[in-house]
Parts: sequence; C-alpha cells; structure tokens
Amino acid sequence: MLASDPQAKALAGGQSLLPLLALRISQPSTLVDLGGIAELSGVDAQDGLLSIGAGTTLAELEDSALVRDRVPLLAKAIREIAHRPIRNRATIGGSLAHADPAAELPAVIVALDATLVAHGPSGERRIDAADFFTGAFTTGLGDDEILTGVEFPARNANWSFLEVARRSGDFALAMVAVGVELEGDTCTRPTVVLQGVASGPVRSLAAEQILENSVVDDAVAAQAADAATRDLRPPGDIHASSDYRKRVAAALLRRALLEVGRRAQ
Amino acid sequence: MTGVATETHTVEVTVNGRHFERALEPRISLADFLRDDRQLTGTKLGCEHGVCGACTVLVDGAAVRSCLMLAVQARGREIITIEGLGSGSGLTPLQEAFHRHHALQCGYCTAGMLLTTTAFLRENPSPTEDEIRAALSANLCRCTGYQAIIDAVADFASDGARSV
Amino acid sequence: MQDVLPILNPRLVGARVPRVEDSRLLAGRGRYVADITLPGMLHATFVRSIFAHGRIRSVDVARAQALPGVHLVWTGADVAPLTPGLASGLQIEQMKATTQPALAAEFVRFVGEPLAVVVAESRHVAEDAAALIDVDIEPLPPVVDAELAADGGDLANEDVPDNLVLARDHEQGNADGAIASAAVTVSGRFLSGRSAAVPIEPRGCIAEYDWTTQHLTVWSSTQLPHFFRSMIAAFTGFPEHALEVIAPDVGGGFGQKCHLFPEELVVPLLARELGRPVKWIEDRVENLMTGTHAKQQLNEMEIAFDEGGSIVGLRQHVIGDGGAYNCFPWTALIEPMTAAGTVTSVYHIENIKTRFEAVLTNKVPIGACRGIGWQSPQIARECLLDQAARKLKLSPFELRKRNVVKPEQFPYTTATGTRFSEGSYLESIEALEEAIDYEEFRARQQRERERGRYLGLGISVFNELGGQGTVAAYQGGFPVTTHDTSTVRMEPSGKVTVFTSLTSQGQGHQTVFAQIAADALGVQLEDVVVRAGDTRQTYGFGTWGSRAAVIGGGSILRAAEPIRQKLLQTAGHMLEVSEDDLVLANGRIEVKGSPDKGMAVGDVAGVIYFAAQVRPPGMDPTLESTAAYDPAEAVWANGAHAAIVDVDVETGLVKIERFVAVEDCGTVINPIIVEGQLRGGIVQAIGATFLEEMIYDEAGQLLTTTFMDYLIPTASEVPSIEIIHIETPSKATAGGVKGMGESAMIAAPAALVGAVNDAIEPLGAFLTSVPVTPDRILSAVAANG
Repeated sequence: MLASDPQAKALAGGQSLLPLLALRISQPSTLVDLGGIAELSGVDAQDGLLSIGAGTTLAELEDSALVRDRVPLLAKAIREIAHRPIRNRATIGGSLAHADPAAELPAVIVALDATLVAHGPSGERRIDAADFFTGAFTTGLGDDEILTGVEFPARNANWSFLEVARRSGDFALAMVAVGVELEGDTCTRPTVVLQGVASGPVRSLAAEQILENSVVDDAVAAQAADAATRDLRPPGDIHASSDYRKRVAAALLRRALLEVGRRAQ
Repeated sequence: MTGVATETHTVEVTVNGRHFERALEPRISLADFLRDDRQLTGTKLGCEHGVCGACTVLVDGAAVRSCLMLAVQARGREIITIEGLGSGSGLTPLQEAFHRHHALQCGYCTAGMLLTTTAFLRENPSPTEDEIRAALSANLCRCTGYQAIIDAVADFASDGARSV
Repeated sequence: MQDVLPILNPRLVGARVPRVEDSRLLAGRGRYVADITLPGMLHATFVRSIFAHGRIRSVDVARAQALPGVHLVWTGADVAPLTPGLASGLQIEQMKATTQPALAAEFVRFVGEPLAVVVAESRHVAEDAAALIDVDIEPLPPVVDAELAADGGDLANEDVPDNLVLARDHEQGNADGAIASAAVTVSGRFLSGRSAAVPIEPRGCIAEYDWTTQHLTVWSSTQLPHFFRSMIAAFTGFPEHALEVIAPDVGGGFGQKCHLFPEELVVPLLARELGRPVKWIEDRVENLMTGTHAKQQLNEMEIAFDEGGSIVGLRQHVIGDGGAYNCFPWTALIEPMTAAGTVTSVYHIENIKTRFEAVLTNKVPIGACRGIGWQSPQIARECLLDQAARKLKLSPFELRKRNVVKPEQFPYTTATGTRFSEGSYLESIEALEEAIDYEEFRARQQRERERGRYLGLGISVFNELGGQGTVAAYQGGFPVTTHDTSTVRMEPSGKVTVFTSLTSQGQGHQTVFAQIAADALGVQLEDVVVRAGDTRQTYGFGTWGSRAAVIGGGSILRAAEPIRQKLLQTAGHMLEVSEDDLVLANGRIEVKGSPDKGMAVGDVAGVIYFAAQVRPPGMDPTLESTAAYDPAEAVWANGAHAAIVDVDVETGLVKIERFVAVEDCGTVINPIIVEGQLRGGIVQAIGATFLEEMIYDEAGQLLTTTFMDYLIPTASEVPSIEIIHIETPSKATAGGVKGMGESAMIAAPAALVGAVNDAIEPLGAFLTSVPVTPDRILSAVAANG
C-alpha cells in the first residue's frame, strides 16, 4: 500500500504524525495503520543481542526489566522523552523513522551502535544506525519500507546521558550521550554522540581519539569537549541560537565525561 | 485533518463500560468521537496537538491524549473518560482530595489531570512528591500553579489503603 | 459614591471555605461553550490573512461554496453592510480611534486577521472548504518594530498617521534637574517581550437567532457578558432588549476574554442569515495567533538618589507595541498608559518626568492581560533599585524601606496623580526581610560563588490597583464609568439566591459571594446559591481589574441591606422588641442576650411573603433587592515578593530555589481563594519571566503558533512558594476588601529577573530583556566573562 501510493503514510503510535495532520501540515491520502501488527512488538534477548520490535511502545520499553538490565542508556533516555501519556502510544520505530534532530532516540541508537531492520517489497534490509539518519526528519528508509525492529549489541560500559531543555520533557536544545569502558583509571572504547547540534546525531571521532587510553581529568574533558564542538554549526531557532547550542553541548560533554570517566567499575 | 472523507470504518469500542459499534471517518480523533458522537463532553480540547493533556483518557488502562489518537485506532479497546471515573452519584476519594486542596479553579484541565493521575497511581501507588510532580508535568494548568494538585494527589496517595 | 458597608458578624467571611462549585467540574459536568450543542447547529471557521500587511485584491470562494456540506461563505464585502466593525477609542484628546472590520475587506493588517468565514455541517468540512478559498493579497511593507514605527515611516494602519495612537508627556517637579545633580543615578533600557494570557480553554461563541421572536442568544467564553451584549447591539443593530448573552463555564480568561473580537460580531450575523445556530470554537493555533497578545513594552528608565539613598527623581519613556488596531474596549493604551500612570508605585518620588507612546504595528492587537502595563515598569524599576543599592552599599531591603510611602504619609497622592488611603508597604518589606534572613543569604551566596555556583536574590515591592470602579479607572487614565450589580433575593423558605453580573473564570465567585451574602443575611453557606453569567439580570462591566471581590462583595452587601432591614423589622414587630435589640446570625433572629427569644430566618421570610396580617403594616412583601457598587476611591492592595535562584551559567538554566510572597489585600473573604490566585499568578509569572514569548519575524509572521513553540510552565517549573498574609482593610470599600488577582503578575517577574541579575552580577552581566531565556543568560555571561 505504501509502495503503490506516494501520498500514503504509515501510522504507528501517531504521536508525531497526528499533530501534523491536525495542523494540516501533512495531508496524506491514506494512512496505513501498523498498530494491529502484533509481530512488530516485543523485546527479545538472544546471544547478547537485544531485539526490539519497531511497534513496541516507549512505555513498554520504559517498564521493561530486560531493557533496563541490558541497555540502561536506552532506558534512561526514554524516561526523558515527552511524558508518559505520549510514551504510552509512541513506538520506537515511529520515533526513529520520524528522525527529529532534537529527539533522544537517534542519539542513543547511534551511541549504542544499533542496527535497524527494515522491510519493503524487496525484502529485509539491515541498516547501521550510523548510516540511518541522513538529515533533519530524513532517514535512509525508502518510501515503500517500514522499520520492523532495532537490534542492540551487548556492551558493558559506563554511560552518561545529559540534555538541556527549556522544560522537562521538551525537545532538547543540546544533548550528549557518552559511554566509556574503564580499565582502572584509563578510558577505552569511548563513544561520544551529540544531538541538537546538527540535522541529526553527530558522533565525534575527534573527541573519541582524545579519550582513547586517557585518564579523564578536567583538562582532558575540556579538550575533548572542544574537539567535539569546535567545528559545529548547529542550526539556530526561536528556542536557542546556534552559538548557544554549541556552547552548551560542550559544557554537557565536559560534565558527562567527568561523570563517567571517573566512575568506579 | 484534511481531505474530503468518502469512506468510513466500522469500529467497536467500549466506553465507560458500554459497548458501541460505529461507522466512523478515519480522520475523526478519539477526542472528537467521545465529545461529539458519544456526547461525553467532560473530555476537553485545549490544543489539539498533543501538548496540553486536557483531552487525556484511559485506553486499556493507559493514559492517552485522545486528540493524538484516531477513533478508528480505538477499535477493540476499553476507554475510560472522566464520566466513567465515579459511580455517578458521588465524588471519588481522589476527586474529594482535589476538592479539599483547591486543586481546581476554572476546571478546564481537571478531567485531564484526574485521568493522568488515575493511570499514574495505578502504576505507582506510593509515589514521592517529585514523582507526582514529574507525572503531572504531562498536563498544563494555567490557574492553580500546580502545587494544590500535587498536594491533592500526595494526600490521596498517603492513605495506602485507598486505590484509585 | 456609595456608603461603605461593613460586614457585620463575619463568620464565613475570613474562613477557609472549600468551594461549592467543585463537584460538577470534578465530575466532568462543566458546560463550557464548546460543550454546548443545539439542534440544527452549524460550524464556522474563519479564513485568515497569511500576510502581516496587504491590500486584498480578491477572495474567490467558488470552490469552497461548492463543497458538499458547506452552507455559506462570507467575505468582508458581505459583512461590511451589516456591521461597521469594532470601533475602539476613548474620550481622550488627540487619541486616535481605530475600527477593526469584522472581516477584513480592503486591508489586512496582521497575520491571522479574519477575512472570510465558512459555515458547514462540521468543523472538519468547514476547514476543508476554507482551504479551497483563494485569497489574492498585494503585500504592503510590514511594520514590525514599534520603536521604529514610533518615528513614523511606513504605516501599519492606514487610518493612524505616524503609527501613533497617543503620546503623552507628564511632569511633576523638576526631574531633569534632580537627576542632573544627583549623587547616584542608575538607568536601563528594559524590553518586555510579547506574551499572551493562554487560558487552557480557547475562545468560542455560539449564536442562535429565532425569527419568530427576533431574539438573539449568544453563548460566549467571555469575562464580560453584559458589556459584550451592549456592544454586539451597538455594532450589529440587534436590539439590546431582544439580545441575551450567556457566559457558561469559562475555562480561564486572564484578561484575554475581556475583549470583543471580530469573530464574535460575525457569528450572530451568520445565525440570523442562516436561521440556524452557528458555533465557532477556535483551535490553539488561532488562539495563539489571533487572540489578543500582551505586555510588549520598552521601558527606558532612569532613577536618581541622594547620598542617603532617597530617590530624588525618576524619568521614564515607554513605548507600547499595540498591534494593528486598538483592542476593544481597552485600546492600545492598556499597556503604555498604565505603565506611565503608576510608575512610582509604593515609593515616595516627587520629581518625575514620563512619556508614553502607544504605537501600532502589523501584529495582533495587544489587549488586557493579568497585570497589564504594570508588570514591565515594575521589572525596570525594581532591577534599577537593586543596582542602586549595590552602588550605595545598602541592602536592597534597606534602600526600599527608606523610599516607600510611610504610614504617616497616608492619604498619599503620587506624582502621577494616583491616591492611596492606606497600605502596609514598610510592614510588608519587613515581613519579607525576616522571611528571607538576608544576612544568612549573602553569606551563603558568597560561599557558593567561591565554589562556582551562582545564587541570586531579587525582591519586588508593589501595590495593585484593584477593585476597579470609576474612580480607579480615571486615576489609571481611562475616563470610563464602570460598576457592577447584584440582586439578592430571599425566598419564602429563607433560602437566598444571589444574581450577579460578575462571572467567574475560576476565581471561586460562587463560593466567595455566597460567603458574603450568608454573613449579611445571617444564614448558612448552603442556604445561598449564586448565579452569574446571564444577561437577563444585573447589568455589569465584568470580571477584570481584580475587582470582583470588591465590587461583587460591595454590591451584594448593598443589595442585602434592605432585606436585612425588613427581616429585623418584621422580627421586631413579631417579638415586640426594638430592632436594635436583635441579632441576625446562624439562621436565626434572636434578642440579644436572650437566645431563646427568637425565630428562624426562614419563618420570618415566610411571614413576609404569606402572612399579610402578621408582617408590619404597610411593608412591601418583597425580599428582593438590586444594587450596584462603585467604590468611592481607588483601592490599592500591596505586598512584597522575593525570589532566590540558582543560575547555571554554563547552560543558562535557572532553578528557583525559593519564592516568598507577602500579600496584603485587606479583608480576606476566603484565604483558600487568595492563595490559589497567588500560586497560580506566581507560576504564570514564572512563564512570563523565563519561558513565554510571542516571536514575529521581520515579515510579521508569527513563529510561535503552537504549544511546542509558546511554552507555558508545567508542574516541574514550580518552586517552593511561601505565602505570608497581612491584613490592612480598605477604608473605602464594603467590608474593607481589596482586589488581588493580579498581584503576582505585577510583582513576581521583577523579583525573578532581579534574582537572576543578582546571581550573575559578579560576572558583569545585567539582563534587561524579558523573557530571561537560557540563551540570553549565556550570551550576557559570555559577553562579559
């Protein structure tokens, strides 16, 4: 149905799509309701891989002990998303396909090296999170494809997730997700992802290079934060200017690094 | 929502314990269905884009913004609105707590507050004040300044014997 | 203008009485205008300008008219012969009146201005049809900056030369001289952004016209049904006696709903044309985009002091951005004129020089909103006082104590011509200072600064012109008459019905007025019912200007008095004692000192109605009385607010650690209601200070049109708030009551802005733009760091 009608749109939880319809910004000819497809929902852990059906609601994920234990960063980020009544309907697949540059999930799935599973007329496709977000509200998903799942590899790391928003539950003005593994005081396998500073999540290899095999102290944290944000040109809007987002992303990154870089195992 | 509607879908839904089967245009929101088709006007519209929470109802026990759900998506579900919260002949203990604490002024956000609170307390019967505050952040109020509502919910929840 | 009446035997007055109106609202049985359905009802939706300024070339409605389900489409040309629109002006010399058409026909002057209307079977179909209307507008240069507009140039409104509705200068004493020779001077350019009232219930109205009786009924979410009715009659020709306006349950007003809007002229005309009820309910986008806005002002202010810290002079220049038309009925003067008119507030300042300019721009009209023009100069003045305190090395409390009007100076007339009879200015500052423990705070602030944490304290001392009647209106610069009316009727059983013109939008009138009536007539609370919102009774001007408690209370006491007299007269006659020996309370009339010698109030009432031979000869057997009330003086509540904040200078986020409000609103009828108004007002003030701004771009497009963009506080933004009551009864009002509904919106933003400025002061930053956003804080700190 999606393949045959370019004006059709997939409807999952509807928490992002329905406001657009109400405001008459989006005017699809047909809505294809994915809500009734039971196979799209569920959380499964196998062989160190956590698989989540795209139709699983954020509330289900928030309440899932499996998610809390296996992917604590995801659990933490979800609690920051909007409010519970929204999370009761919003799905992980819908949120990711919507690709809001200020949303929490895109940053988190990039930080966790997740894989997205898509289905279309030509079959199943697996897409690395790092390649999925191609622009503001734009993904690598074809018009005739839907997301069916997200897979998270097992990883034992210390995570810090910080965001700044005008009010609790609002879209972030700037956000960072930082993960490190500590061998004694030394950082390994650092992961640094920023959100709200570009059209999608930004992974900073420059910052990660500085952190790899370093002991995180004030100087290193500041250096990494500077490297991660120096060349950013975040979009500005009525809520925050470009300069603000850049400065705050740096401040958040510094704080996040000091939080996890020194945490005892 | 847009478009000249030409088709309807048959929807079976339970509202406040009563079962209905209706033919509805896909673009009708659950909120509009409840207010216009069922004449349950206790559920209010404050923004119609999913932020203010005045339209909150319970769908299979979960708090949902009825302006962000199409009526056709409610097929097979159980909906509870403000009218379905009590017995119909007296205030519930939660409503009494709102009254005692002056947790309403104009009353327009009140149904949404009660429904969000009802779902919240069922999931978290002994919340801290911070947890209540975070849960109620889902609903906008312009009159009370919120503290009275938080106090009412905390007061209600403090009596562990009561269930909402 | 009328005698002051006391509240005798107050028993319910002053008590924490839970509201009688709660049950129906809690049970979901409130009936707001959107909940009302009438047989045959149709739905209207308005087509609105997408240009801020332009000349309408054509409006093609053919496709819309052809859509199945559409009953009628009107443009400005259809409506112009039926109504001249909203003519808004005041009897003030040189002031420019404006007329806002009901539907724009020639010019559009703000984005969102209605220019056509569709009536259809449902709102959905009406909106479908609206999208099919082709509007061709020739754009004209949009005027978006009020400061530039004040200098002339492009016209925002072709009928208003130089974009100036009114400019006025006022001087008393020699401010220029005093400031030039002063020891210390502080000055600043303070900008208040545009904001809006944002009641959770948007606007709407329903009209029904019966051709057989030629009677028009209008339901509207309005704060002033009677005035609304008179004005609909005036602007549309529906005769006033065949026109009824009903304010049903109203979900908040905050001043936005005390205007008449062009849509509300169109809907009754549609109902008559179609012979069917027509309903218009706006959505939130329309409310944010086309409902009146508030507060946008520039305040340039300079205050000068002698070495002792006494204020020797004040200069103020206000520019008010009025939008494209005078709002109806307050006009574009509502912000700038009131800003200049009360700028000295509670302080003794002899030399002042003020100038205000009410300027038009191509934006939504600015209207009345809680706190009106008082909020902005309050921020300017209190922030400047704090700056002066630092320069003079005085505590901010001490500086203010030295300058407020002292008890021995009452009655006091200010340099702007306002007059106060009493107040607790010094006492409220002292109460605040004690609550704050100033020395301890400064010590803690210093310790935390050394750890890189920035705490700040701001205070705001204020008075509030409430209980507004004619004298207050004139003192505020508005030459208008205003009063309200109540009818009190005791039924044969002794139960009481009160009709009043003062409707409620959440302020608890049904309870508060019942408390007053019950005490006046010596009956129980549950024996009284209060009815409002129906124009068949009791003419009045509406609920605004913090006046309902005063005017409602006053009119109820005046109306109750003849009934009270008749009850005492009858009981005295029956008991054969003098009326002076009787006490009316608790449902009984008893002889003083002999409680067994008495009668139930209901029995006395029954006698008056039903026992001609028993009641005093010649007594008119009615127990119904109507009276208006208009206070003989302006009534001023007062208080002082303090905020302690913690500013994260790396993110610009502000946490409010503590908020203290000292409030003196005279005799308090119901402390629960007063506290509710304060708490609600303080949170609304937090929104005004940190979150809320209506932002237009250079083309006059409104960028903040949804709740994702225009942010109001949630429960997470609420700090710990302490309230301290002081009671200095008014000498001028019935019962000594003063109004206070706007206190928090007048005073709290100044305390909050002052607190942020106090926090970031060591970084060399000083904010003068509201809202104080994280971005603005960071920029100010970065610029100076």
